[in-house]
Amino acid sequence: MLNIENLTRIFKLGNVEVKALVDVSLSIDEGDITCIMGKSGSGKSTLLRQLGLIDRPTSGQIILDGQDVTKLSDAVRAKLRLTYLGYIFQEFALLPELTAHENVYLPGMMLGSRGIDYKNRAKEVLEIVGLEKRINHKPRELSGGEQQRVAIARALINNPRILFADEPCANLDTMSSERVMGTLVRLNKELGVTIVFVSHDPDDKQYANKFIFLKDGRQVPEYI
Amino acid sequence: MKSLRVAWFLAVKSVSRGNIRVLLLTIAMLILVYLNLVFTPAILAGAVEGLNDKTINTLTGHIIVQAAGENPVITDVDSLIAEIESIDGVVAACARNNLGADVQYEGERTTTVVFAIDPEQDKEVFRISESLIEGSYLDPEDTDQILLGVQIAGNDREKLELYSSSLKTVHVGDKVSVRYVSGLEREYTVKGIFFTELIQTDIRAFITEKEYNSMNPLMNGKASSLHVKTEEGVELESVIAEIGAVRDGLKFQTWEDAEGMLRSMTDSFKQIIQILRVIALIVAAITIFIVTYVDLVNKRRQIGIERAIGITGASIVLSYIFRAIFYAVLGILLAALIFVYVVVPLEAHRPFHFPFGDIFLPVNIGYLIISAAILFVVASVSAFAPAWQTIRTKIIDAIWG
Repeated sequence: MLNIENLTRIFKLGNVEVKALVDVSLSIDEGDITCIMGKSGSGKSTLLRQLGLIDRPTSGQIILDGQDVTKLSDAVRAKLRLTYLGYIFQEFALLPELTAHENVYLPGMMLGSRGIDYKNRAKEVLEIVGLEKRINHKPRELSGGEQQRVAIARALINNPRILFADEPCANLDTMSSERVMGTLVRLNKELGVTIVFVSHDPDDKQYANKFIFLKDGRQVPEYI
Repeated sequence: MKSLRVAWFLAVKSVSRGNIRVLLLTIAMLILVYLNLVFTPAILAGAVEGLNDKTINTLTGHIIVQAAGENPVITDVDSLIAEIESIDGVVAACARNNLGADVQYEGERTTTVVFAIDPEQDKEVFRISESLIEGSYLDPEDTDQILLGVQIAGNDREKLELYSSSLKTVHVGDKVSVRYVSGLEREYTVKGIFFTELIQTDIRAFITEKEYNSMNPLMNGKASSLHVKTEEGVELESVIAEIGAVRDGLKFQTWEDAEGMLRSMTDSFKQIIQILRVIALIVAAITIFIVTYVDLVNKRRQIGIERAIGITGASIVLSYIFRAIFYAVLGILLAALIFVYVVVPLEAHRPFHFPFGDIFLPVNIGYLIISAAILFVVASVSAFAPAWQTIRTKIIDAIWG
């Protein structure tokens, strides 16, 4: 479903080159829950951004369903993000002026379905993440866990085939973390959504069936 | 269409639920920018209008008619005036004769031009009778009375521009001695003193046509100039052509031709108005650009997130343009209402005083609309440019810096 080959991402900070990812290759199959693990600064989030088509690699290839998406135009990549992929940010990244319901249905508006459709769909996915009673609340009126579940619902609005989550529980307490991770697993089991998430917490291994370990931007056999 | 719908949605939510203080501050700033755009040029436009109005109503009329040949007088004046007044667009016409003279009072002497008028006829063209500060206007039968401009009389007003060369202390009822260039000398009682605040008018003196004819019987029915008042907006050149068709041997000047030094002054004012308008527009553009730019810098991460979840760049840029248009429409509308219903009446109540009189702000609807349209375009471009620049940065840079 998703393959990457010899992916390298180098950042330039002035005259200094920082190799965030070096020659990473991996394969993700449909229905997998893949956990990308590593210490802080190991390149986990950088890898997820390449997979989620938010950033472009310096070299290497990303193959999505047999198609090389590495060098597609920004517009085509945006369309893919909208229709095919869902992305959950570490810091929730909700729009503060919109309610939970509006935050969720905003990406749906871009697909051009009729208003009633994406609004009802937004209610459905908010129900899936257990927030049906909080739809008219703005982000500042929600707890961190609730905000992250709104972010998950937003990522689900367009029925993505792959959901990427960048340390979705990093800013949450234990109970909220379990609820968020439980939601992701349920989405995988009930809706068949392929999940790729980043974590530095060894406890999160329990939720995944496939692991990618990174150290200093390189893939290593096992995270220590 | 989808981009438009999303842009509209984002703009409406941002305006209706955004920071109310930022919203009020932005609109207040736009109100001030628009007022700045219209206020200062309006003062100068009011000055130009006031000066022109005073020139027409106290000095020249709309058209001055003089004899073109060697003989400097127009003959058979009454029939010519009747024919001029029958022309479409002409309100009235009057005849004037003038004589150079020295005026003396208690050891003070000044040189002036004395105009002989039919007071009733002159009042139909000029408004000097409305500018009396002492005494009363001439009657047609007056023969030993004179009307003096305040710059000749002095009138104990030491702050007058020409006080030092005036008669200094003349008031109504005083007797002044007038020696005409013909050598004739007469004594007149000052019947009235006028103060139009236009120096070129206030250095004049007036006697009646009857008095003039008694000194120059051969000038009966003749005049050195005719002054024509037309309706507002009448094409003066066509009126001049019609008068020219009535009688040969005449030459014409419009009030603008006759303005002389005043014309160069109003021309300078007009140039200053244009410069001020351009500067005000540049200030407006920069101010709006800065406000939009700061707003966009603060929302850089939010824009990055919007792009990451699939919102197109066009939607994002359009949403900022819609917001700018909303701010501009509201700001301009409020500013225009404040200008027309607060600033203009307030200024009319306590007008700015210029050396040639009070200045009233003209409400030039055309200019208000053009200024609004320009500001509207500037606001849209100011929103577009930084928004476009922001969506061209990489998503990763927008979100994580």
